[in-house]
Amino acid sequence: MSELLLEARGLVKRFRSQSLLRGSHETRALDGVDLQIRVGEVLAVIGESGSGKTTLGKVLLRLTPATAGEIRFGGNDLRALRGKALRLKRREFQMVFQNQRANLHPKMTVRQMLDESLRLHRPKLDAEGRAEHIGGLLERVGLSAKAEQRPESLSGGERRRVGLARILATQPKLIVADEPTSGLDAAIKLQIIDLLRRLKESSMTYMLISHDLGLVRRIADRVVVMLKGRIIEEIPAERLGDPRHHPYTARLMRAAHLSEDHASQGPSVIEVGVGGEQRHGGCVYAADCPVARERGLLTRCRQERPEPVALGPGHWVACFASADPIEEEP
Amino acid sequence: MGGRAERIAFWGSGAIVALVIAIGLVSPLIGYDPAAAVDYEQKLLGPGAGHWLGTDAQGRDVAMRLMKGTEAFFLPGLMAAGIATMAGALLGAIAGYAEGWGRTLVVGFLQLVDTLPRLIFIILVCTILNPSITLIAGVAGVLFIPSIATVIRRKVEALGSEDYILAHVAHGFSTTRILLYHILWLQARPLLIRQATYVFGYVLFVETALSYLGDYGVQEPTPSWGNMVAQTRELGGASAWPWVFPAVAIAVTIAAFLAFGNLLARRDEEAIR
Ligand SMILES: Nc1ncnc2c1ncn2[C@@H]1O[C@H](COP(=O)(O)OP(=O)(O)OP(=O)(O)O)[C@@H](O)[C@H]1O
Ligand code: SF4
Ligand SMILES: [Mg+2]
Repeated sequence: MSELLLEARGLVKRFRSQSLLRGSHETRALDGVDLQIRVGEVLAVIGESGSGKTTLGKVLLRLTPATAGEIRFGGNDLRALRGKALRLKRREFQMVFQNQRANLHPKMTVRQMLDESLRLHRPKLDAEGRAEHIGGLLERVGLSAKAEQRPESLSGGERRRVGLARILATQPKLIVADEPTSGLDAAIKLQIIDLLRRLKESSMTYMLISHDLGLVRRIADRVVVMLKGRIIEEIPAERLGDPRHHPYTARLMRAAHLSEDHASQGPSVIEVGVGGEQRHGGCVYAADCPVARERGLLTRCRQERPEPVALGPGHWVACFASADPIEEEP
Repeated sequence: MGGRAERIAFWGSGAIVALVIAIGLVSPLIGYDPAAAVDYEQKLLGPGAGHWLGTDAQGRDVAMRLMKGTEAFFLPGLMAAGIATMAGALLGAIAGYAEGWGRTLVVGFLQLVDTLPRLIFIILVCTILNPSITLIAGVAGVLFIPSIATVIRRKVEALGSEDYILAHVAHGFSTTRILLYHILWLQARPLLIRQATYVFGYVLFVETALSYLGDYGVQEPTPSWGNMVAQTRELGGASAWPWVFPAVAIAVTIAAFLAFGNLLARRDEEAIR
């Protein structure tokens, strides 16, 4: 196995919101997350809306401070870095934000943005070298004709590609791509997928946040499943669909399957609602878990936090019922 | 946007601003001795061939004095605008972005200065120090720092929580570059243009007001638009020629600067949006 690029341990991120009516309210966006990313792999993070995927990406790249936990990036303790040291480190990891407007300065043209990135990340290039490089980058993302445009006159897919081009300009060691295909129509989606694939071929390491299982299957090497701020399963991408999935993942897969049948064009997008308040003691799925009820595990599931149980190479689930495989419903 | 009327207003006010600036730049190159210009035989003439805009009570050419009078406010006005916008932008950016004691210090300073009523404070400074117009302009510039800083601070605070600014942090840009270039230059430039022309107009206004109110500002025999208008006090109703042109010049110049600043800022907003 290749060498570790990033390792996180016990990450916690709490958001506190004040509201006049409800008083102070706390969200545990990350509730004790352990994660490793190896050089050259594509790690997918899946999970429903609000499960903490974006927060995980931002915390890992120090875009939001973690409440607790440890992050090591290429041997450095990331949380301890400050000021200039942190800024220099930032060049080694980049994030493609979920909100595509967000990546781009509204008042700069595509060329200006790329030029600025190159100035910052490749200070040795002269103006001519930069111009040449910009040409290459634009070609790579298929935007050669849009160099002089500003974000407002670009489509969602084009904005994403500018964001990617900008990130490619920096030659980062790690890219976190947050929902790179959401909200795009099928054709543009394919362009992005194609681009992500080529990135993978050039052995770029990235973390792909997505609830698009089709995309995940096509690109990822390894998948982690998040629910309410925790990672509840890790599995090699080619084993998605394994009968021994975590009960929540199993439900996700079924939901995705259904939506694939219904809307046969394009990859499936998962979205299953999980109700109930967050419980910090027990399993985050306890309130909705059919398996817990079937097997009479509910009391334990509500009180104890399930630890990861290894099921095979690169596959574990955090579930008390995982000792015996869970049968897929027909 | 920008209809025909706005276009005319833009170019019209722009022409006046350009003219004032050109005169302000050229005037110091032309020699003028106010004592030698006195000629009582020519006093209080109306506009005519020898004296385009007539003469004043001492027979001095009004057109010449009008031109030389720009020196009283031109450089001081530029200086005040420079002080106010640069310091205002910088402090506003710090107040909007920084944390900790730096911010506390800046906000405290801004609040303190902001409590001072501008014109009254300037008059107070004048009665105590009787300073040069340059110093007065400097004081005026400082007095405008808080209002500009507040506008900039709001802008910086609003943008600071925008995702794309976070994206720029993530990309590895320094705070200085984000503040100075991505926020101030690219996003707050129109605001600063507007404020700068306003402060410039204000200095002209202050110079006029001081000359009119008492023996402050630029003193006779050195010409200023303000002390030219102030001659009405000595003239009584004898003749309007000595003061009507400077009065019009003051009104038109202030109006043109304010209008041009606004319209230029609007154009800039549209161009870079
Ligand atoms: N700035 C914030 N302030 C307060 N709560 C936040 C903030 N950002 C995220 N949260 C909360 O943290 C939880 C996780 O949010 P996050 O954005 O990480 O979810 P996500 O998995 O990326 O969802 P999606 O698929 O919708 O993008 C949510 O409950 C969200 O409301
Ligand atoms: S630990 Fe219990 S509640 Fe959680 S998924 Fe397993 S069976 Fe269900
Ligand atoms: Mg998200």
